[in-house]
Amino acid sequence: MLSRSAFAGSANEPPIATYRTTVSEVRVTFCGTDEKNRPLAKVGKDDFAVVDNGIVVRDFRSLARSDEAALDVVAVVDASESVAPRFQATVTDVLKLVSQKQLASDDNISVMSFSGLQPVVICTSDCRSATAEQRLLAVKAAGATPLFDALADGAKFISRRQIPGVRPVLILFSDGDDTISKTSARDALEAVIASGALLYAVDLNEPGVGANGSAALQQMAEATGGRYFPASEGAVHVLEAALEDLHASYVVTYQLPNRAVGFHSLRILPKHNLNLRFHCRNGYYYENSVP
Amino acid sequence: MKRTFWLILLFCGLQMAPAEHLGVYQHGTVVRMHMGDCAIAHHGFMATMGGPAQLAAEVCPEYTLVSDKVVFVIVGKSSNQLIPLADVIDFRFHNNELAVRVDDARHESKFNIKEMILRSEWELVQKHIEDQLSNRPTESSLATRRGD
Repeated sequence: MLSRSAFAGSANEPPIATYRTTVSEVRVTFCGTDEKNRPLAKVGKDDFAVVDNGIVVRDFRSLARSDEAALDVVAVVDASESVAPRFQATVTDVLKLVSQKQLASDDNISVMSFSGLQPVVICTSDCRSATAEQRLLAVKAAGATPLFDALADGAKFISRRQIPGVRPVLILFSDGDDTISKTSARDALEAVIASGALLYAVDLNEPGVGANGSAALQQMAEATGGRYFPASEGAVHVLEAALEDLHASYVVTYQLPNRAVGFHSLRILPKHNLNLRFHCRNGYYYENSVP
Repeated sequence: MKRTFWLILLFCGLQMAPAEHLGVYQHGTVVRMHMGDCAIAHHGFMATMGGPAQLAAEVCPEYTLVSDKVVFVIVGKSSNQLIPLADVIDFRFHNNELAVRVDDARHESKFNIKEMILRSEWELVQKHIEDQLSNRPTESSLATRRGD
């Protein structure tokens, strides 16, 4: 949708034409799972409807497999006192994650830890080296939990690394219990959504303990289109799930249903089979900006 | 004896006949959906008197269902009472509720009716909202090109 609205320039120069265009297409990446939580091999336009800011959208411009082919993983590891009892097991899990061959290169994995006042980058692009391993093993679990600051920092970090065709993924190992952040939970979540990253949360609470933290982790993961796992499932399983989601992902596009400025909530719901679940980020920001 | 048998068979047949055979279903399309307050769904004594604390936090799906002449706003009774968002759904009135089904399913799902409005009036309201939104400056990108 283009309209020529202004001309400028001297007689010798080609005139400058100013085109104003209204961005009116929404593009959502999602994946579907069946009643056994297995990714759907095939998704058609008649399987789902998008609910955009409360408006049901069934008329799609396009539906295609996602062209993302690889993951860029940032492991964000809670090293606060509250997770001390299982911190060594978590570090072992993270080391297993880093060594996974499914991650094609060293460039695709980074590790951050957080405790006390601020998050620290342990390694980036050299995480499979012995030095990085030593740095990770040297981290001690102590201090307060700046979980939301760490998520906001992780989102900022991963958005600086974005490469076309590579899906940014934050794998968070935490008990979900923030104690000291300057960033609010909402701001942290908005930062993750704005970065385009999916959050896969590994819950470090023992089963039946820390219900609030577990619920917070689950809600945050689902809000980004990611998933939640108990610690017992292990980091490798989380990575496999992230890869499965990557390969089963689709991109749907549709016309912006209304021009309400600000946050547009998003849900994808089945049109016929209520056993199907569709996972996507829970919204996007629409802004009118005229330079 | 034979006559009694046929009467019973006829009675059972009527009981078991799917509702569409009785011609009572109307058709409509869900055009809006959001998670809202469950208050209307929990309008019993406990809710009126304050009810358990968790009820306050619970959200229920609320749907705007557009039929030929009337637009209904209906509310589910729990957070997971979802309607498949098919192009067309069947519905009928049942004891002050709306019973909804999709794709000739035998199972109906019952929803509380929160609002009813004539479709013509609803469309006027929608048009007004659209006009309000489209009167704002909407350009969200500017492309400058040399040439042409």
